[in-house]
Amino acid sequence: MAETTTVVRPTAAARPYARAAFEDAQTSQAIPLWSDLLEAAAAIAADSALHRLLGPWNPVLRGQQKAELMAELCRDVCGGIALPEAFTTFLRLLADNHRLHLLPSIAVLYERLRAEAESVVRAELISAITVTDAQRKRVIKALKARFKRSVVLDCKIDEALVAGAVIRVGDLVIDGSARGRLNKLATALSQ
Amino acid sequence: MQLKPSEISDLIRQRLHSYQAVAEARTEGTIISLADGIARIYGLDNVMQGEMIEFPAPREGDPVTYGLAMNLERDSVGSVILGDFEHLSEGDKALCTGRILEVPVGEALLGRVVNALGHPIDGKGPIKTDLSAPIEKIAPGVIERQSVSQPVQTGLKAIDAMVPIGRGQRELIIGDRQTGKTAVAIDAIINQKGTGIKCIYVAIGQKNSSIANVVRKLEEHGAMDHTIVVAASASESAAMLFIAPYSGCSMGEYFRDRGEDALIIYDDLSKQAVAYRQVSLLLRRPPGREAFPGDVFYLHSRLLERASRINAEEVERLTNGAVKGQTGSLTALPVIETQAGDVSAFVPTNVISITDGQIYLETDLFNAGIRPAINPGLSVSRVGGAAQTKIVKKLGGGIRLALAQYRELAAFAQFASDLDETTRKQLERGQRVTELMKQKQYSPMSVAEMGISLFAVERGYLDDIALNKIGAFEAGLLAHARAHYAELIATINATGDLNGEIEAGLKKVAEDFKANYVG
Repeated sequence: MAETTTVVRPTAAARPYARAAFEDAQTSQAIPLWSDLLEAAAAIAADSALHRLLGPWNPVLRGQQKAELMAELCRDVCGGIALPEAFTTFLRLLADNHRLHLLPSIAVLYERLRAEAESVVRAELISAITVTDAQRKRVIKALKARFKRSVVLDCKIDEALVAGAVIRVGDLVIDGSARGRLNKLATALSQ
Repeated sequence: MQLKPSEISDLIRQRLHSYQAVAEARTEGTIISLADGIARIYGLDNVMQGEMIEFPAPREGDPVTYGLAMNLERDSVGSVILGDFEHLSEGDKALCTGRILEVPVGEALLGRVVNALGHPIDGKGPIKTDLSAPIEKIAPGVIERQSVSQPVQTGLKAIDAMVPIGRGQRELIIGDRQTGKTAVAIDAIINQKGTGIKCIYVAIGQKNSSIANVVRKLEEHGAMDHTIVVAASASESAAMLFIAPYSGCSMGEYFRDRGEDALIIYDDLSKQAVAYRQVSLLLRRPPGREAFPGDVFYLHSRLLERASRINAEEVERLTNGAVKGQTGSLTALPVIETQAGDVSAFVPTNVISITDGQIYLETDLFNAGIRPAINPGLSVSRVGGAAQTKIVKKLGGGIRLALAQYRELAAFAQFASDLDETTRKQLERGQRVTELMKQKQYSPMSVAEMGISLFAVERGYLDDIALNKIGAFEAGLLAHARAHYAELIATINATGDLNGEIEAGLKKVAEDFKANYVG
């Protein structure tokens, strides 16, 4: 059985907020800052205790209070930086519309828009042993040629792969691991 | 240590040979919800409509589970799982395969019982064929087609005389439950023995016991050798019921495209529509009339359009010149079950409008002992007339008329003594024809036998036979003909013609028999 992963599923309602946030960040040239802030806000909103507290299902706190609480938490998480006014307004707007719980989705969609605009793809390289710098460069070069974008590569190590590596870019999985080949061999033999 | 049948060294070697260890790029998604055989998958950006999706196998080493991508939405893909899904759970991976669902096709399937995916379920071992075909194909276009001109003999007098079926035609069998719809279909399959027409019987949503019964009957009558049974029983998932007719159709198209003739029976399409409704509603497609989705017409029309007769050029093209000068055909006999005789329900009206005619079976007739319980007024064949055997066409032409007149006058039958000569004659003729149209199950008739029976009623040889003796008279007449006029029977079966010589022969048979008939 495959390992289970939590998937943040972008909902349709999150889409216009993500686009608005991204466009605002683009005009104010604060794309990386918004990225960090949204990531922090998403992490807060995903926390189960805070999820209960900040969701539209909590009648004790008013929208305004929820927004303020969220802004304060974001500030703490990001190391006490001053939040841009647009971001606090954004949180207030979300709170008024009872959409604070959508922040994880919004963050995902925001990152997608950012990657699109900067023409960057994030790739994940999972290998059985540590990859050398030369290997990393070769992988990045190959991926660049394939996707015609600049590539940000995250490396991970998973010994269960036995040998070789798996590259994951969004939905696309390039499986060159010994584990994958063994699985394929098992399927070929049993069919 | 238990050995599996797949652990035979030859097989292993063969499979190792076909195994290729290359790094492959595949699109991967994650199951985000799973219920009632429907999986919603996040990811799979490049998936195609109708593409097979690979899910993890129940246990390591088992064949993987497949699904079918049906709803491509903005953030997720709705997919039906083909087969068991108990082992799957949220968070499992789902992979694109880049392939449309395919089933094995070819001669090797004849005599076999397979499920909707073409896997054998009759315990006779694996199917030895390398050929496969996608289950969804576009029907032949206008240019590739040829009009219907050769008959499919069902062996049932009532059908071959009144609602003839041609090769490449789509003739609907419609009626309530327990009116003999399947019986008509099975008789048609049995009668194809030795004609070269390959048959495919697609059982949709039936009891496993009924399917086993059909298979046994076909085996008993030696009809399994030219038949493929595709079974999607009531215990299988709705997705399997929904795809079974398409699988069967692809198996039939294989014969059509090679310049052969095939006959396919979908028993029945009402259950397929219900299965499709279930899948659609679970995929949250909006319900329409009778809660069926909006594309239920297309569901049946695209299936039945694939039944066709294609011309010799197309066969030559499809076989790369291997078969020349032969047309291919796929004749379809879809079955629809009505509720309390209501033909104006959604699915029956759809299928009636798609097909080239219908055989309408009625409960009242069935209970009155008229079997097959064909209603001659409502049953029609829109194109079969062009394909009817000459002898049956000439001799059976009066049957419809006689029955129509009889129906009009039937209400007066109780005043028989007060009626004028003509009316009484029409009534008597009608009663005799009705009696003659009765036929036992599993006893299809040859063209010659049909010709002899029809000749007898047409020329008035039955007029002085008591009504309750008609059946016996017919049986005697046919036995007499078989015993003493084998040559005539062979000639009629070979030519199907009615010329002066044959007519004289038929007259001799009837007079000869009647002279010695004591009643």
